[in-house]
Order: sequence, then structure tokens, then C-alpha cells
Amino acid sequence: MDERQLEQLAKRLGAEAADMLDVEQTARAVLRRVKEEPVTVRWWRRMPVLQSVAAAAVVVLTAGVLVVGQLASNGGEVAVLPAFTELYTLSNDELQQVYDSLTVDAPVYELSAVNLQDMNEGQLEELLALMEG
Amino acid sequence: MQVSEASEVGPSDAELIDRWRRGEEVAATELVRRHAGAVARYLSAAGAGEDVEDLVQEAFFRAFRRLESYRGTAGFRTWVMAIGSNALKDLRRKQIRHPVVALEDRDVVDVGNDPHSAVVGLDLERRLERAVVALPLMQRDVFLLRAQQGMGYEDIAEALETSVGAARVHYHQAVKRLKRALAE
Repeated sequence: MDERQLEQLAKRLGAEAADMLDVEQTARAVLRRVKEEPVTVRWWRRMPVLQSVAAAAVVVLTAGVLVVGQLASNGGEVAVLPAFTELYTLSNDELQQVYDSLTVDAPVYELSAVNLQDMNEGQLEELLALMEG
Repeated sequence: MQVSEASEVGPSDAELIDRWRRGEEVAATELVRRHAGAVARYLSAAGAGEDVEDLVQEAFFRAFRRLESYRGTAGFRTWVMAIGSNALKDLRRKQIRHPVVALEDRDVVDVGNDPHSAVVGLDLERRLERAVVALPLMQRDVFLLRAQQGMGYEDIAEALETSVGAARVHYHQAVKRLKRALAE
């Protein structure tokens, strides 16, 4: 079977289900549900201040985990770092200094730098096999 | 191969979406009428089985609820299909946690007065159906959107939030697997 025959066969799949579907009833049911189940916005999403605080907390916690990990691997020595709770007050340059001092390993394989269209079939298959595990 | 979703007579999908956003229910009804059949075909081929009607409903429901996140870069139909695919995945995950006994026996096929060739055709269709359902999710979605629905790679990539190159790779992998499965 070639690709074209496969596509022709694929076009026939599900035809029975489509024929049996009651479109009008489906449309009515969808609209009823949309009306009956209004969008619920979580209370904290309605408060931008809380979102900012949550974002800052994530930054502080992430930095905390990194520093603790660094301390553990360096036997307690770490570059000059202000108190964790003040991280969000640092400028970009200051944050960069802190980041550099942590000597985080560079990623071995940076996917975003790879253009899929430049890869040959073998490389693409290898990549796909990796993605599928 | 690209199927234009704007080839429908009457207002375009974009116009209907805009009217629905302004509260016109009839616009939403028209969107369901226009695309429900194709979505049902897609979900059925993806393995929805007897849940297809509920899943079509769920796909449109979710789509209308999150319409503000629809950027219009992918066709509305393709976008709803991608949402439906996620709904199917959620349903199957839930069913694994709370299994139910299926009463339907899909292997029993009524061919009526059809001759031998029809039986062979149906058998091939059933085998393809099973092989499609067994594909990895991304390959399955890309294959069906391309081969069954006739969508272009750009539309597919947009709806499935992947790159055009990756969509092509998934498609060719799917074709290879399906050919192998049908040859067995």
C-alpha cells in the first residue's frame, strides 16, 4: 500500500460516527453547558498584586534551591549573595552576577539551536526516537 | 492537500467567532453545525469509540470557554480538533483510574449484503483504525489532521503547538508505522 492509498483509506475512517452525530442536539447541548457552567476565575487570579507576590516567591524559592545545592557541592562556600528575600529587588546586572557566581553547568544539548529542517532523515529519526523514549 | 475552512457559504469562521464573542448565540450554533461532523470523524478515528458524541460536545464546550486564547493563526476546526484530542486523552486517563466494562463489541461487523470485496475493505479499515489508535499521540494527531482532514502542515503545527518540521517528521513516522502494520 502506498502513501496515497493510505490517505484514501484514512479519509473513510470515522464516517459512520459523523453520520450518526446529531449536530443540532450537540449545538444545543454545548450552548446549554456554556450558559450553565460560567467561567470560574480563581480568586487569586483576580488580584494582580497577589500574582506579583507569587511570582517573586517563585524566584526567591528557585534561587534558594540553587544556592543550597551550590553550598552543598562547594562545601559551604558561595559567592556574595544578599539575603534571599531581597532577590527581587536586584537589578538585571546584579542578578546576572549572582547567576554567574553559581557556575551552573551549561546544557549539553540545546534543542532550540537546532533547525529541524537542516537535519537529514537519519538525524530526524534519531531525534524522534529520543523524544519517544 | 490543504482544505480551506473558509470555503463555507455565508460568514467566515472569524466573523462567527466575533459575533459569538459579542453574545450572538446563533453564531456559536452555526460554528458547531459547520464543524461538528468533521470533529466527530477525527475523534472517532482517534479512538473515541462510543464516547465520540460526548467528546465532540466537550471539545466545542472547551473551545467556547477559552475562545479568548484562540489567536486565529490555526483554522478554528483544527483548533477544536486539537482540543478534542486533549479531551480524549483526559477521558482515557480517567477511565484507567476508574475502569468500566465495555458492552460494545467492535469486532462484530454487519456488512449486510456486501460482497467479499466490501468485507476486505472493511477489514482493512478496521486494521487501519486499530493501527492509528496505537500510534504515539502526536503521530496520530498529525496523521489524522493531514491524511483524514487534509490540513496543511502549517495549520497542524500551529494547532498542535509544534514546528512545521516536527509535524512533517511525525507524519512520515506515522505513515511508515501504518504501512508496516497493514502489511503484517
